[in-house]
Amino acid sequence: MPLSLKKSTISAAALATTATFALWATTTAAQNRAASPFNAAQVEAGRAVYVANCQSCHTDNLSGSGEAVPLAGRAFLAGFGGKTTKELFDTVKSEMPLGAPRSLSDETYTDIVAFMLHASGAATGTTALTPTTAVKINTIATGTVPPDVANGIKLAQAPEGIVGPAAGAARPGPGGNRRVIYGPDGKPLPGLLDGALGTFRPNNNLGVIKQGNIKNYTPVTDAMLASPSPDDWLMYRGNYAGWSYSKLDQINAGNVGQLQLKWSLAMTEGGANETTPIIHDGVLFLVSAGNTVQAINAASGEVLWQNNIGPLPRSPDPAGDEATRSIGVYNDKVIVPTMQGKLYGLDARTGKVVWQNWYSDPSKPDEGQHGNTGGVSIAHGIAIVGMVNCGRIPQQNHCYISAYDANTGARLWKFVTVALKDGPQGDTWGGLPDDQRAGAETWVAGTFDPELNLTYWGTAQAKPWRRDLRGSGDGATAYANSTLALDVNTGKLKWFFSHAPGENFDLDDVFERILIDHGSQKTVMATGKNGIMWKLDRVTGKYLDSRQTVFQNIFTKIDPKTGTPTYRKDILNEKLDQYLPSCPGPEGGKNWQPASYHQPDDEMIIPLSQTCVLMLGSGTEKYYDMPGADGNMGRLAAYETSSMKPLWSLQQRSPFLTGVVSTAGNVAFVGDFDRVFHAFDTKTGKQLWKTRLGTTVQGHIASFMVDGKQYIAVMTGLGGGSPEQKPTFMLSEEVSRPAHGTAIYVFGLPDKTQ
Amino acid sequence: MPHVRLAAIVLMLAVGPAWAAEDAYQIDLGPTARIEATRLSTLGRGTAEIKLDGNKLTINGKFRDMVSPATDAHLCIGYGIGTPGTCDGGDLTVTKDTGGTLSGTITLNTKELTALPAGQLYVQINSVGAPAPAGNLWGWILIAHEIPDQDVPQPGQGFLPQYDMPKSIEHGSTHPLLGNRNS
Repeated sequence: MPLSLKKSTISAAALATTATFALWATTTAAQNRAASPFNAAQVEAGRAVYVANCQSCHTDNLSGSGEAVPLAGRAFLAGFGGKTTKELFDTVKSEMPLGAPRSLSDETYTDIVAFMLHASGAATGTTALTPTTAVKINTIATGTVPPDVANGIKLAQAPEGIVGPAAGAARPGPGGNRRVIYGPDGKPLPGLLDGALGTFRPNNNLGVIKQGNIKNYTPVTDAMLASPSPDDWLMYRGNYAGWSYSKLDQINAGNVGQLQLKWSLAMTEGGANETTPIIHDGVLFLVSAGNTVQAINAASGEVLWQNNIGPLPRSPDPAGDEATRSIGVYNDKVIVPTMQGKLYGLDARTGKVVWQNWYSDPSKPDEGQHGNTGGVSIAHGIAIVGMVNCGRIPQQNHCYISAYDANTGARLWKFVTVALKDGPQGDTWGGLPDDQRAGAETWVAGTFDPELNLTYWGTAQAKPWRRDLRGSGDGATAYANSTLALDVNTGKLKWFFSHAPGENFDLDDVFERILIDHGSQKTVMATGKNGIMWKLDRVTGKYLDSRQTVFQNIFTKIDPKTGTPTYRKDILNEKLDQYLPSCPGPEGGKNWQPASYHQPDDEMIIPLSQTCVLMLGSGTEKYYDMPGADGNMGRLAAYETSSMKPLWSLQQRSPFLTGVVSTAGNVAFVGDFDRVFHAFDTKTGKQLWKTRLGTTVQGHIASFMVDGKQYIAVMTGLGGGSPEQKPTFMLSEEVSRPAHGTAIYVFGLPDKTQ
Repeated sequence: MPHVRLAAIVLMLAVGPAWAAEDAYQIDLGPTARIEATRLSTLGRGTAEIKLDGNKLTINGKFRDMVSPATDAHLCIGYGIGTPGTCDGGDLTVTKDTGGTLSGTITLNTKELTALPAGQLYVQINSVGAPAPAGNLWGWILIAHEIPDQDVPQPGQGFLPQYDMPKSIEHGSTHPLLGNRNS
């Protein structure tokens, strides 16, 4: 059903908003700008449409976030100032809403354009904008964002009759509640969407909806976490060092071809699925959309208890809600970070909430409303969580890493990941005031060295990611795009290493930190979106080595002693109205899907992606194939970590969207965008087995054993941003993948072979 | 002495830099940079072989699966692999169809001869549905390399071009991005 708006029913409250900017509009009109070709009714109609369809990605002040480009102000004019209103109309119509372009009426598109022009300082006129109106935007817009937009759009009441695009046209996009469905009473209708997907009915009760009591549950101790039983998968990526490696070898290179499905379970739809199954004593703990937490018999698939923590998913759209990548277990608790700013401790036996605490309290000015997709790491009874969605400008509350007593939920410390003006490294942001220092999110939970008592985290880039828009000059923007080593007990920074000082292209170095010892040398290794694999001394943070794993054209060299990269000249001299090429693009040569360290062969097996973009100052991106990849977006490559020597590599059209898990059976498991779950030989890269699952194979894999039988668990699902969004754009005509099908699949050998 | 130096320059211009002629090159053609509005009009793929004889660059290739007929093709120059620039390096002959052949011989000037081993040259095919300047297909002139089948492992890194030196790491480049691995 196309989005429509009955202008005659615009609420009085919405019209009242018009008055709040009337004075500003009058002032702006006096600035000798050309008369604007749109009227107040269009602005208000466009405002409502924007709130319903665009705001969750482009933010409530149109400043953009992540890959959603700025739609107002200087950044917007940099890209569109020289174009006409007709060209803007054509662009919006041809590209938006994401996944369903051209699905709205021309009238609605003109309303949105009118609102965007207003948001960039164009004075409201009396004539109505039409699809063919062609006025140069920089002759009417000043770039000054009016207060009613700059302070965040507020609709006192949802307008009637606004509905989303046809459900059948829905396609995964960036996270956030991109689409809100309103009923005739003007109130949102969470969890209900008619259309090709059918009527969406999520779990409609909150709390423990499946009662259970796991009486033989054994509490998880520090000793268990430090040296996990091969039968268990106790944490995100398997062990403290983040190896994503299993010591089990029952399933091996010789028999993996016999793998068969043992059980599967549909998971809650309505959100991105990138999660990790956690297994202890034959119980598999799983989180899915809506903060649905389940304890499952890991051998049979029987659900033992289920707690729908909530809030309920808002739509079946897999991009509707982001979710965490991992829960944790400690003692008799299951630790659950949510996107809504809360951390929960559930009773592992019953699923009941034992404690809850805010890690990001919206009522506190220094915390605000942030989320967690990176999961949780637990070290010596301390649950440590990171934070995302800190990119909005102005940024009053910055991202931080925070720690909690895993038994009580009490906060122990927090470390702000942005260097503030008057603190250490405060001079690395080009003198920007604190509220202009954004980003440095932590998308992936850290690893832990119990001997050094340090936890290692990667941070995302500063925001906006273009250095010219950011205004930080040549500053390194500490502690963005860095490896951080924090004391587990105090949160104090031991050292940091900046992988991409002053980053410019949405190329985070934020992903998993893997701890590997080479004799007495303790290293931490990481691969970022730029595809550079880094090796650092994890005691001191000293740069040791690096290696290019995919084609890249961002850096022209890396200093062999310091690890400091040199950017391409045109990047340093960029202009706002100029397209700059970036290989890899924001999909990343590497993204959140973790590599596996196959310890017996000192071998790092990395899931990689190969695409490039041309990026405009406004953030608009044009995608193209990575040179030399022959159209193959997917790449899996293995390296010996002591020498950094490449061992083998393979490519395929679709990118890999799970992390890799390797086993002592010399098998590496990984899933892909095109629904294929693969097993490769760790020594040669030879494909040993594959099968097709319900939809994209995405998330984290786990290996475990129950009653003497080894199992491999893997997820299917959608959503989650760049790694899934870019191939959706590039491959949607080639790859058939249902927009639902979130599930867990568990494989094992036939009984007779065990 | 000036005459000797001039003669050397003339000779170099006539035959091209020795290091440019030593290597074999190829092109893998794929869609140009796309947005949602142009995504479906810029499909297609292709390959081409490159022969350099002195300063004569001969291109012979094929393309397929475009959604509108090709109109023209050109040699282009950017400032490194994957960085598009301008397409005034010479015209190529292209089949006026959605698939066909691409061919031509272009006399490279000094700048282009230097640009070739630096990965700055590429080819662009324009079509009815994806005209210049954006175009339909492009492909950088890269050092010749094997294109393995899907999921067939290659030893080492396989082919991995570098921004300013289109020799793969496996072909012996000593590019500084390798860091101190060899030190």
